[in-house]
Amino acid sequence: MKRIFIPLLLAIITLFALLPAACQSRDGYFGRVKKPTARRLVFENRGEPSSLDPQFQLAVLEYNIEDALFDSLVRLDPIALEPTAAIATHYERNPEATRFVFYLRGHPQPRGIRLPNTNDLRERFRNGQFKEDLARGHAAPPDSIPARWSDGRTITAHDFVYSWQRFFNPKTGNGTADAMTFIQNSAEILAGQLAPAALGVRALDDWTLEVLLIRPCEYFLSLLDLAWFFAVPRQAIEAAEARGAPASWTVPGHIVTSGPFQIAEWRPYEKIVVRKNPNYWEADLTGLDEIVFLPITDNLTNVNLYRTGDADIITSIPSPWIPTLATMRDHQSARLQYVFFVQCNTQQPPLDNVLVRYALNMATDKGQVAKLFQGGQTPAQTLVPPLMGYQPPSSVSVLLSGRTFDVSSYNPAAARELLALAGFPEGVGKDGQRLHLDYIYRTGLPVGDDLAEVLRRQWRDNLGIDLLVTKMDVVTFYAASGSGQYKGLSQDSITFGPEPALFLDTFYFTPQDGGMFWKPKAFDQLVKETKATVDFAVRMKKLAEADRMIMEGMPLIPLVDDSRDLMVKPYVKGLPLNAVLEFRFKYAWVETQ
Amino acid sequence: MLRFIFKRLAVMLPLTLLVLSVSFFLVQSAPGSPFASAKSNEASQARLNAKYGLDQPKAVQFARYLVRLAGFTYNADAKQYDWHPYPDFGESLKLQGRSVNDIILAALPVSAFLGLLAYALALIAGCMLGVIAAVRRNSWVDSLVSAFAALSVALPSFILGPLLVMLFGLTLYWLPPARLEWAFEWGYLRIPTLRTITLPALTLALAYMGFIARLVRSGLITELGQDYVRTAHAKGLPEWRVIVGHALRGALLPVVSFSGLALADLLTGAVVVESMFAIPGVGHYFIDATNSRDYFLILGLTAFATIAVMLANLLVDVAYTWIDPRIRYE
Repeated sequence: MKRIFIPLLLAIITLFALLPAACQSRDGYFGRVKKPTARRLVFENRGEPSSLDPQFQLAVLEYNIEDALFDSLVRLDPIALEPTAAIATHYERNPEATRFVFYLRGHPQPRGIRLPNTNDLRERFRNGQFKEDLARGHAAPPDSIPARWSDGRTITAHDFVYSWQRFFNPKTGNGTADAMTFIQNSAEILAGQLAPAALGVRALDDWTLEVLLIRPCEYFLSLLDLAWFFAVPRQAIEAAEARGAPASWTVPGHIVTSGPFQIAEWRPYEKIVVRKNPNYWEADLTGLDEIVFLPITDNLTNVNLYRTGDADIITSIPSPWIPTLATMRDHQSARLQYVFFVQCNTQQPPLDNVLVRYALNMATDKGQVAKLFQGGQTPAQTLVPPLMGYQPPSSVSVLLSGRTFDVSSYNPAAARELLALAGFPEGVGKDGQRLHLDYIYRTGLPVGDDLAEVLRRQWRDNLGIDLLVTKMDVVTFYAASGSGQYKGLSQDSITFGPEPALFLDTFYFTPQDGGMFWKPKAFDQLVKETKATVDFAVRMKKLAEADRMIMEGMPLIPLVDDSRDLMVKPYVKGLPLNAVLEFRFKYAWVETQ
Repeated sequence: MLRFIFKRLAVMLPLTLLVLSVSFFLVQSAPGSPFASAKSNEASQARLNAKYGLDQPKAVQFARYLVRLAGFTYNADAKQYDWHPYPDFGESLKLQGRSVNDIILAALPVSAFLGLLAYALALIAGCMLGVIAAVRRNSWVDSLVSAFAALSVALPSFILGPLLVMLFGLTLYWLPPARLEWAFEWGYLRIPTLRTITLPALTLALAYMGFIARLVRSGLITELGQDYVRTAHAKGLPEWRVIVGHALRGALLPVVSFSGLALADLLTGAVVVESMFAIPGVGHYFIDATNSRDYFLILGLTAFATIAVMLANLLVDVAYTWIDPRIRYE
């Protein structure tokens, strides 16, 4: 038995050990590269969407599909992330940025500021601002031609009034509207105190839409790129309600779309197929006939499908694969508006002492933490990543016991001093007991286990404290972390879309101020001022002040600014990467055989 | 016999109800809310709780659930209950607008087909290997089969699957590394193509195949030493008839016992294999529903898993009487 078993086992191991070498492509690409015969893109989309109703959108994987299916007043271009014309072609704004008037496609005489369109994107390519020609020789259609739903009906200002009233209507039950209550009366409507008709959005005529905000919001146009503000079809939604199945309007056969594609097939956990919408206002530009979204959760399976040429783009690569794939020609990466951090429950001792929080931050070698991800991640100095025109403070000096400490830097010796000042010299308290801190994190984070281990080691070596680590499933984690029911530290990550100032909302979501119990009045005031500042440069300056204030209060320890690694087949064009990892499928195309 | 089967079927309903009742309170006592996320707040969670009736006392929620299970669905427009002759497991809390009934109907046939195919493969190949090993015991063939059986039992599917994918999918390019294509579709019934089902079925089957081979081998060796086998030989029956017609029957008893749980396991979704090969079966729903506290989906899946286990056990008990005529249930 032994005589046969061991050689057999060795033979199998050798065979499989040699296999990966055979999988590498000789031309520098990963796996098979075979140009498709049809104008079709197969896009790995991470998981099954919980809904295709844009007003219920929660995850990127839903946004990707909704980007293909729906359109908004204004969309951000995929390279510079600047507002471009979509269903609106022009807009006016009062100096305080509290009243916006949009002129929709079909308006005979639009006024105000003209939004850049496809022609302008082409110009940017010609003068070298853009590396890729997103227009591909197409001219923008005339503004006087109205936009249409996929069923041929025209899209008017009334459709937006209906869509937005529905979004804030508590009966819609979407759970996402609370973050967007800056439109007049929206909070009162959500709370059930006012009827949806009282929303500060009016159709002045079929082609003119007026929006009133409760506070200045210069970046309102960028927010219109969020799926929640997309136009949704009243005719299809009301028909579904009449059928007694309100959510069924997104199902193939019932759905009506406003975007460049319409849905053809939806097979849960298998695929979602969208096809070109011939009624889209810029259908000429749409370069693909079909996109297949694969809702596959297993990252390794996605890598395999990409390797065999069964997927054209994969957006989630397992960390151990990144160093190998990063050497391939079809590898792409982008820095993201996304930060990993550890939040502190500032009500629980010893974390109620800011000196302990400083010590933890200063004892964290974030360079080592960033390396765990194996991609382009960089150490985070503050909460808000330095992207999209934002420059965070380079240092945060705090005066303590007559000495100045840069509490945002990595300085283990100073960290030990601060911990001693807090009453824990060498990590030991007055009672002679070693300091223990609870640390929770959730499943599904890319390097959650390794991260917990690295932090445990760094804080033990640098401060002499012990970390008691608990891993939780997502739902249990948010129940504990969001409501502040955890005793010590909680690791999480967050993103807030196309405006850096929105990162300050970290302290306004989830119950109890994000579970940190930290929101001094001065900070609260500064956040309001920052978000309401119209001038971009001044707003970013105030944001830096708020960012500094967060570091001075240290309710959270920023760890890593994220980046994302993707594999994109060389024949896929027009899908540039950006800081919010949002794709604009209308510009995408594939080189066919 | 029929009476026995009828009695067992009659017990299934109250048992399933009991399991569901316990599960109802268990899943709701787990920490967290199905509507919790990084960007939700108390107000949004309260609104969604109200929308799905989760703000009501547990007893009221349970009573409503039982009413739906009895086939009554509330018609909000007519303000009355409509009755239909099948249980209504409610709506998924996460997958907007999808009923649990619909989810199970769509996913269960896929999982069941894969499971049955894998089990058939495992049973046929396992029995053959076991017989060969028993007949040629202590020879090199026996050693080879035993080595194979030990390997297949020892290698978990999350190792075996990638190895098979690496060989057949990524090196030889004979079979796709994941995803099913359909050869036949009729309503909820879908039959995948041989090309796409081979690797997942093989991955699932190999683990059971080795175990069955070992069971058959040891069972057959014992049976071959029995008096009735000697008698059969003395009667001058050919060797293959003695083995297949007489000894194998007795050797299959432990295999049948093992089949009960294995079949129930396979029918209700092989979670790891489904995830690895991107198969749209119930495995994904089990994981996602549990992780996201999708209460009604968890309960619906639990009901089907309960029924599958009971049906598989019934099948095993019935099979016993066929294999060993001494067993009687009257």
